[in-house]
Amino acid sequence: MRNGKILELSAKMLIPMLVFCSFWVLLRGHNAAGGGFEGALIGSVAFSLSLLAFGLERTKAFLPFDPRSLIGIGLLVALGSALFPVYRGLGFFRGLWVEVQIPWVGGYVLGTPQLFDVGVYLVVVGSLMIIIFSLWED
Amino acid sequence: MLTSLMFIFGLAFLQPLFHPFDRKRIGWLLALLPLSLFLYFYGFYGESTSGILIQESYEWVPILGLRLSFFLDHLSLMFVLLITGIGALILIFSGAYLGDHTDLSHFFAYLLLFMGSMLGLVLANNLILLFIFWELTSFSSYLLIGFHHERKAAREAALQAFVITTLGGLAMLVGVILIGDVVGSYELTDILSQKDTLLSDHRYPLLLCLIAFGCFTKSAQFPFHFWLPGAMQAPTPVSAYLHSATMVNAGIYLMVRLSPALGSTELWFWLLVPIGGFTMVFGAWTALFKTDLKLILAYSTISVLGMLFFQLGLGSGLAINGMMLLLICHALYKAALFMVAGAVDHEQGTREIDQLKGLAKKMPLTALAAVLAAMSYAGLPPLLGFWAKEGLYRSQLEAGWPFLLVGMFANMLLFASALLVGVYPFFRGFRAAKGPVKITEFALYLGPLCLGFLGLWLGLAPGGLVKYLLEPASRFVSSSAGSMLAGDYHLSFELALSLVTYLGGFLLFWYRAGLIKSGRELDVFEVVSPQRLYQQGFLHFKKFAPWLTEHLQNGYLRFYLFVMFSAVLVMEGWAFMLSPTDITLDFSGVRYWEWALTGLIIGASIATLFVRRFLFAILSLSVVGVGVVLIFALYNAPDLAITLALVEAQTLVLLVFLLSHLPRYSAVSGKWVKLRDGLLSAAFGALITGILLKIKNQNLFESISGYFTQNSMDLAHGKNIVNVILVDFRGLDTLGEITVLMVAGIGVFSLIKLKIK
Repeated sequence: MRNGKILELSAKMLIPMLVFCSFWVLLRGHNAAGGGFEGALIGSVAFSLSLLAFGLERTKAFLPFDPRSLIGIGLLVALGSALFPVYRGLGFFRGLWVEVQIPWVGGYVLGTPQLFDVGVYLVVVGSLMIIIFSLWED
Repeated sequence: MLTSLMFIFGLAFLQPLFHPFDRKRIGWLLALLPLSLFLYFYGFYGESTSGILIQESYEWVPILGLRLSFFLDHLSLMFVLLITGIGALILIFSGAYLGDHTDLSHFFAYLLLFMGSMLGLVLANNLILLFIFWELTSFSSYLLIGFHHERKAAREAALQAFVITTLGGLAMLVGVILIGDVVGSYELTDILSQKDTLLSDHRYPLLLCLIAFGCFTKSAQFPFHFWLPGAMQAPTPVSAYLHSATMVNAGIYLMVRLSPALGSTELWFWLLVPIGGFTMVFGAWTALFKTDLKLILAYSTISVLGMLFFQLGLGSGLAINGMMLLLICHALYKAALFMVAGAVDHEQGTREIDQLKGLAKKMPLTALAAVLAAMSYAGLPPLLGFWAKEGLYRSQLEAGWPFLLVGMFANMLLFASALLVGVYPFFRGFRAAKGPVKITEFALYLGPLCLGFLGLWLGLAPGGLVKYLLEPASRFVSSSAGSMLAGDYHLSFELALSLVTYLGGFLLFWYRAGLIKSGRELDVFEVVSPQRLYQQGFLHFKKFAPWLTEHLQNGYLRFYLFVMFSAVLVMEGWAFMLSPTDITLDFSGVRYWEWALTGLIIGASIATLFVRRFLFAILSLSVVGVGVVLIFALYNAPDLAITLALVEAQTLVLLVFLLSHLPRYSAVSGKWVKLRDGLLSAAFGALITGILLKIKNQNLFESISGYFTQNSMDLAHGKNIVNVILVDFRGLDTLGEITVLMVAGIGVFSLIKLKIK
C-alpha cells in the first residue's frame, strides 16, 4: 500500500512523541490524570498510526517484540505485584512503598500499585495490538 | 484421620509409577495401604464401648463455617473397617480380574479415589465436608461404572447413576444448608445435640424430606433404584465394592448418623417405612426373575437396602439392633458373592445361571466361598445372617403383625434368590460335570473365601463384634437399644418364624419357573417403570437443549440486544414502578452550553439513524462520543474524559480499517421491526433517565467517595483518586478486567486467524 509522503513524515515525527507521551501518562497517573489504561490507549494509537503510514510488514519489522508476549508479561507483572506482599507475609494486594531520591527531580514514592499499573499498561497495549494487527491482516 | 485420607488420595495419583515394575502383583502391593489402615483403625476396636474415639479439626474456610473436621465413633468405625477391609480384598481381586487391561492404572486411580471419598464421608464431622465427599463418591463411581467406556451401555449406565445420585445430592445440599441455618453450625457434634431446636423448627419437614431424598437416590430406593442394576456395567470388583461397603451404604450412613437429631417423628416413620418396605419386597421379588448372577445380586442389594431403611424407620432399640447386624452381614456376603460372580465370569465366560452347571467340581474353592456367603444371605444358622434375621423378626414382632408379614415375605424371597445364586449354578448337574480343568487364580477366590469364613466365624462367636461395635453403634441411634442376644440359641417364636421362612423360600425357588411364566403379564408395567420415564425424559431433554440454544443463540447481534434490553426493561421497569421516590425535574441551573452539548449529542444520535452509508454512521456516532467526552471534561472527570476520547479515536480508526470488509449498507429490518426496536430503545432510554433521576433524590447508602478522598494520600500515596481506586483500593477488580481484556484479545485473534465461520 502506498501512502502519502506527508503521512509518512508526520508519522515519523508523531510516533516517538506518542510513545513518550504514553509512558509519561502512565507514570504521572498516580498523582494526576492518567494511568496505565490511558497510557496504553495512547501507545496503541501510535501503532495504529504506524500501520496506516507504513503498513503491516514494516511496523512488525520495526517492533522488537511479539505483542502476544506483552500480554503474558503484563499479566505476570500485575499478578507479581499483588503476590509480592504475600511473599513478605502481608495480605494479597497490600500496597508496599519505598521512597527514592532521583537526582534533579527530588523525592518520589514508588510502590507495588505502580508496578501493577505497568502490568495493566502492558496487557492493554498487547491486547489492542493483537486486535488491530489481526484486523489489519485480514 | 486426615493423614489416612491424604495417603489414599496420594496413592491414587502416584500408583501409576509402580505399574512398570510388577504388573502382575500390583493389586497385592496397593492392598497394603487399605490393609494397614484397617489395622490402624482396628486398634480402636475393643477400647471402649461408648463415646467418640478420636477427633481432629483444621480450619479450611472459616467464613463459610467449613472446617476439615473428622471424628471416629463406633458407628463410623464400623463403616471404616468395612471400607478398608473389603477394599483391600477388592484391590487384590481386581489385580487378577483386570490384570491384562491396558488402562489398569486408571482403574486403580478411580478405585482409590472412590475408597478415599467414602472413607472421608463416614469420618467427616462437618456436614459441608461430608457433602463434598458425598459428591466425590458420585463422581468417582461415575468413572468406575463407565470404565469400559468403549461400550455405549457402560457410558449410559455411568451417566444415569451420576445424574440420579447428583440430583439427590443437590437436594441434600439444600437440606444441609437448612440444617446449618437452623442449628447455626455445620458440625455434626453440634447438630446432634440440637434435636429439640431442629424438631420444633417449621422447616423441619422440608429439610428432612430433602436429606431423605438425597439418601434414597444414593441408596437406590424405589423409585430411584434403577441406576444400581444399571451400574453392573462396571467391572465386577467395582460392583462388589459398590454394593457392599461403599456408595449405597452412604445413604444409610447419613440417615443413621442424623437419626438422633431428626428421627423418631411421625414424618420420619412415614417416609422411611413405606418406601423401605416397598423397596425390600420389590427388589427381592424382581431378583427372583433375573437370570444374570450380577443382576440377581443387584436387585437383592436394593431389597436389603430397603430393609435397612425400613428398620431405621421403625426406630425402636430392637429394630436398630437388627439393622446393624443386617448391615454388617450384608456387606460381607454381598462383596463375597459379587467376587464369586466375577470369578465365575472370568473363568467360565458367562454369568447366566441357566448356562452354568456343576461349578462346584470345576471351581471347588470358589464354590465353598459361594455356599458360605449364600448361607449368610439366606439367614441360615450358624452364620451371621441368621442372627441378623432373628434380630429383624424380634423387632418386627414388637412393632406389629403387618410389619412382620412384610419382613417375612421379603426374607422368603431373599432365601429363594440366595439358593439361586449360591447353590443352583454350583450343584446342578454336579455328577456329570468334570473336575477342574485349570486352577482358579488364588487372588480370585481369596477375597470371597475370607469374607465367607468371616461370616461363619462371626456367626459362631458374635460376642466381641456385638459388644464392641454393633451395640455401641446402635446406642448412638437409640438409647433403648439393649443387648442383641446374638449367639444365644434357644427355642423361641422367632426360630419358628425362621423355619417358616426357609420353607416358603424353598417353595418359591422350586416353583420359580412357573412364577416367571405367570409373571410375564406384569411386563406391561415396564411402560411406566421409573427407568423408562427417566430414559424418555432424558431423551426429550437432549432434544430440547439444542432447540433452546438454537433459538436463543441464533447469531444475530440485534436479537441479543433486543432480548437483553427487553429483559432489563421489564425487570428494572418493575422495580422502578415499585420504588416510592419522586422524580423532580429542575432545568433552572442548566447553562446555555450545556443545552448546546445535549442538543449536539441528541442530534448526532438521530442523524445516525437516517444516514445511508457506513462512513457517515461511524462519523456521527463519533460525534456522540465526543459529546460525552466533553460532558466528562466539563464535570471534573479528566480521567474518564481522556480515556473515552482515546477509546473513541481508536474505535474510529478500527472501524475505518474495517470499512472495506463490511457488506453493503442495507436495511435488515422491516417497517414494523424498526418501529418495535425504536419503541424499545426509547423506553429503555427513558427508563435509564428515570432511574438516574430517582437515584439523585434517594440516598440509600452513604457515598464511598469520601473515604477514598480522605485515604487516597495516606494509604496509597497517590493524589489521583481514580487511579488509586483502579490500582490499589480495587486492584483485584482491575486484575479481573485485564484478564478479561486478554481473553477478548485472544478471542478476536483466533476468530480471525482460524477463520471460524
